[in-house]
Amino acid sequence: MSGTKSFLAQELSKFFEAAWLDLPAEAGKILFGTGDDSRLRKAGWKAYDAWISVANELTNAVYSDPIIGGATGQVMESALRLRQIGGAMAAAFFGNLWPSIGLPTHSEMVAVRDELLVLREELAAYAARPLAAANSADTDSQDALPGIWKGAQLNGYRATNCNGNGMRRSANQVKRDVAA
Amino acid sequence: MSLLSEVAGFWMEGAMRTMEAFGQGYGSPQTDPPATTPYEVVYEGGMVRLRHYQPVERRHKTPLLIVYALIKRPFILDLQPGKSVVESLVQQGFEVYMTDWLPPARKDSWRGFDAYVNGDVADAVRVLQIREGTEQINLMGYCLGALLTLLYTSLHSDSVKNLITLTVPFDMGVRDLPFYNLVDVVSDDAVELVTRIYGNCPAWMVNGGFNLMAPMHHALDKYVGRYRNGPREGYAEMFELFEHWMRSDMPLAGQLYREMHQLIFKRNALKNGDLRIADEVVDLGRITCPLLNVVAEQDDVVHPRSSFGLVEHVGSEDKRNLAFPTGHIGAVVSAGAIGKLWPQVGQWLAERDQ
Repeated sequence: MSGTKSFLAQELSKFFEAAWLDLPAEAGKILFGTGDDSRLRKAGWKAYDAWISVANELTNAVYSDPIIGGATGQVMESALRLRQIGGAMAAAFFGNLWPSIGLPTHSEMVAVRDELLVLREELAAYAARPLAAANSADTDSQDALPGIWKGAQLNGYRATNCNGNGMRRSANQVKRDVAA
Repeated sequence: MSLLSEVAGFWMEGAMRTMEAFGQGYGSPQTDPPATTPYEVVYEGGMVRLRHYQPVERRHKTPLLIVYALIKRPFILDLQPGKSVVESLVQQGFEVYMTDWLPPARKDSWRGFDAYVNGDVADAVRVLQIREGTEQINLMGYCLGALLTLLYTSLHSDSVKNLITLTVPFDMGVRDLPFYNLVDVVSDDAVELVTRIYGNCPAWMVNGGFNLMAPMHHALDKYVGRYRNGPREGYAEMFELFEHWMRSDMPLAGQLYREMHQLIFKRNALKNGDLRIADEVVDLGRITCPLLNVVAEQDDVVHPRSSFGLVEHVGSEDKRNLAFPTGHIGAVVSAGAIGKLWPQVGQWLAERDQ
């Protein structure tokens, strides 16, 4: 915490130097016709960077404060509990209402949405196949593959075989392994 | 006036993008930008899709599996020509595979470390073993992906020839980043409530967490930076891609969120040796393969001190930290990292390819 404070003090002193000394000095030079725009712009960005550093250090100080941290945790938990209670009340009310007027419940909608997401994934994978299939059209039949892959010790293995060549090579390797 | 109107314009664009992302559910794989390095999907199962990148000219025997983090889309590792870790590695002659994690739906909320490590990562490794006809592979993880590789290697050490951890959140007892104080105040009850209400930790919550790490940057400074760097060639395109990635958050499966928060962050169970996966203790002493622990010295997501200590806890004889003067994301996109860090990583792997 003291480390954060000393960093903050350093950044504040840099900011005051850049914003209250360097920047006005360059602006003054422009007024008296001895400065140039590029130096003024540079001083302006220096002041901005110093201000951002101060803001970052302030954020760090807030994060490190146990009182603010504790309050944040409480607020989060309370919001979640409210959300849960609200959800339960809505489910109790609408759960009976919707089916009575022939509409689906929230959980049914969630289930449909999840299923749609899975189908979208499968469709995207399927859509990627025609091009890959064209690449491997000149190669031999793949009928033997599923049987060969059955031998592999995988949990839920599904070979997508996008262009066929790589899978065939490995399938032959498996064949050789099995023969050996 | 031009400054104010332009910054306001960038800010409005950013706000619109955030609203759009919120409406569409953030990191949907369909909205990824085109890949810089061509790949084929060679496997899909569980919540992982495995990509294969062929080397320009294969010069190394052992294939490399990159395990990406679970919370944003992986295109940050293949962002632009000349700013791509994957491109760098395939140009160095490595056969590269990378996990593309699929966003968990509510029905996947049961997935924790066991499902991801002993299920998906283990399956991905098995695919490499079969395809490449090899028993051992090189394994590399980034951020949360590095944590998964660490757990996998501890539980299945025979399959890993060399391990690279990049910005790994290992010692979470380190509280040098003020943001972590907020993690402490989120109680176990609150985490249970999140998983009960939403099933998983929603993508908007993950995104909110990232924004809270640097609120001034996300609220204002990045738009001012966009204005200041406007004349720089390629900056606007890079800014857009980066913003796209920043809002590509994915939900974190409920059980994994619970385990990450309660075991890794709050109880520091991995470092303390108390972590169990499927009733098996994760003993880092069982990791005996060579380990390269890459640490970003200016990392403001995983503090360097959270990563450095790992080498003292593994059983490997050949192990080292490689510190590089960059940030968490700079380690995979900055010109300096692509030009200097990744050739070093490639060299380290090449020397241990026999």
